[in-house]
Amino acid sequence: MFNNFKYLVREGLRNAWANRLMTFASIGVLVCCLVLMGSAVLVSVNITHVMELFEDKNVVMVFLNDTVSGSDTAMTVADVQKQILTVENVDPDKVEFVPKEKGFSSLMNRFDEKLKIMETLGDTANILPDAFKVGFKDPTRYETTVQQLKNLPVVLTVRDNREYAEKLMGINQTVTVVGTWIVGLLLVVSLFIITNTIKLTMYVRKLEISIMKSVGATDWFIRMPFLVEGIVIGLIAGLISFGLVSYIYSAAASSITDVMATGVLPYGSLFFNLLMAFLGSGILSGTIGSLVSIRKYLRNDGGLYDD
Amino acid sequence: MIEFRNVYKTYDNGTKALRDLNLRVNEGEFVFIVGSSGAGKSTLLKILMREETPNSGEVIVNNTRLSTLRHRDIPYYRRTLGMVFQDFRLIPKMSVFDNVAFAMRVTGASTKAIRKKVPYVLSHVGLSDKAKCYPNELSGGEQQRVGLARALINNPALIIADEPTGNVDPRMSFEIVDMLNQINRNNGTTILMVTHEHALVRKFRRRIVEIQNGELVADSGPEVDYYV
Ligand SMILES: Nc1ncnc2c1ncn2[C@@H]1O[C@H](COP(=O)(O)OP(=O)(O)O)[C@@H](O)[C@H]1O
Ligand SMILES: [Mg+2]
Repeated sequence: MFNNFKYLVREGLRNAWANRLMTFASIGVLVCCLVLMGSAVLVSVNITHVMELFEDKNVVMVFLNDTVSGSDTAMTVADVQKQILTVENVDPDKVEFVPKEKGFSSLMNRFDEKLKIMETLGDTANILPDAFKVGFKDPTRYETTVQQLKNLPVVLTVRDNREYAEKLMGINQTVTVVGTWIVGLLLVVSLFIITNTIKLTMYVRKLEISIMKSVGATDWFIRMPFLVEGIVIGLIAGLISFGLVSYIYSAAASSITDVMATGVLPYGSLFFNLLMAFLGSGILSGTIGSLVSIRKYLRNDGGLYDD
Repeated sequence: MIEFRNVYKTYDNGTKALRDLNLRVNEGEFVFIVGSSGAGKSTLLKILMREETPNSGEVIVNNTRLSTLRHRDIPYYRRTLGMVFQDFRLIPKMSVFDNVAFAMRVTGASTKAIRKKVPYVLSHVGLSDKAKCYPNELSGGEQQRVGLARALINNPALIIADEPTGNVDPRMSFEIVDMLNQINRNNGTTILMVTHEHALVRKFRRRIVEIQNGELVADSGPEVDYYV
């Protein structure tokens, strides 16, 4: 049986090569499909990740006027904190001061070389205001509390995480819906192409199949080389897609990190799952494609005479 | 060995290829099947190969009722037959050796067994020195001997040959039928051979069955009847 297995695998590889034009076409379509699918999944995963960061929607960033700790008015941090605490729904245990130096340096860390110049300008260029991280007691009164905070004279603005979260959720849904449709469509197209590739091989090998049948080959014996061909196509497509998506992701990651404070998920954590998903879906479509296309030839018992 | 009982075969397009055919062939017989073109000879063989099934009637081969064979049993049934076709049906991209080995490989034979058996069978049909050749490098007669070697490789109890000499020149035709004759005499292999060539039929003097319009119209009778 092992002899047979080796022989049948070799046959499948030979077919794939003999029929290489269509093999490459199939691989190409499958790669497009997998790359789009992979990208959609990665975008979605990242949005979910960002949303998790915002999960504590009960916390807002309250940015302060530059009157605060400015030279003349000289309001102390404690004074401001007292003002903030006048808002009834603010949880006194969840009020934390974020000085502008810290906010600035953490921002700076995310920018690359071209913005280094700002650093040399020192404090005068320190454009981020001081801020408080503020938590609420009762999340259901979120909106009124934010409004109350905004009305405080010391407060410049309140960064509302809810707005971000809702926008992200919207993007996520769009990506999911559009992605699903594109992927579905491409899957059909690639199955069609793989099926036709194998049908073409089959046409070339009709004589061989009919001889196989006449000397008593079982359906699985006849199927195996075609299955191998389909799997090889799927495997190669999976690997290429993985390479492409990895490259796109790392390129996108560096530019996104510049813009978005949260950055993207490190690729390392996704690497293995993504590789498995690509190989899995590649092999699956190859297998389905080959089994579907050969079915017709195996259903009847005839064809011993004609090719 | 083979029994056709009241076999009718009508193709989907309405052609009545066999009508109430009755035929019994004993083990070890050599039967020529003759009849004009379109008489139903190939249909008879196709039923034996289980490529076609009768509309009614029963066909029994080696104690197997063909009507009871399931799709997945058919390959195993076919391994007990050797088939020889008019157009040789060799795989062009495979050498003579591989064409014959192929039929053995299908049965799950080991490479070792294949290396031992194929040269042996090739020597029997006089093609030892052509093992590495490709079909297009051989004459019609030689190609048909490859076909014969392939039919013999799994030691079938029955060989079915549909006009095996149809694409072979007359001198080679004689050689091929002579080989079949030897195989029958030496191994007791039952042989059914369809042919148009009356010269061959006369020369070898074996059982003759004539079919016309799907009916058995003449039969020289069993050569040996083990069951009488
Ligand atoms: N697959 C088929 N479909 C329809 N008609 C067929 C088919 N095969 C054979 N026939 C018809 O059945 C009749 C017998 O054919 P066949 O058995 O091939 O004759 P022979 O081999 O004696 O020349 C012919 O009329 C032929 O045209
Ligand atoms: Mg015929």
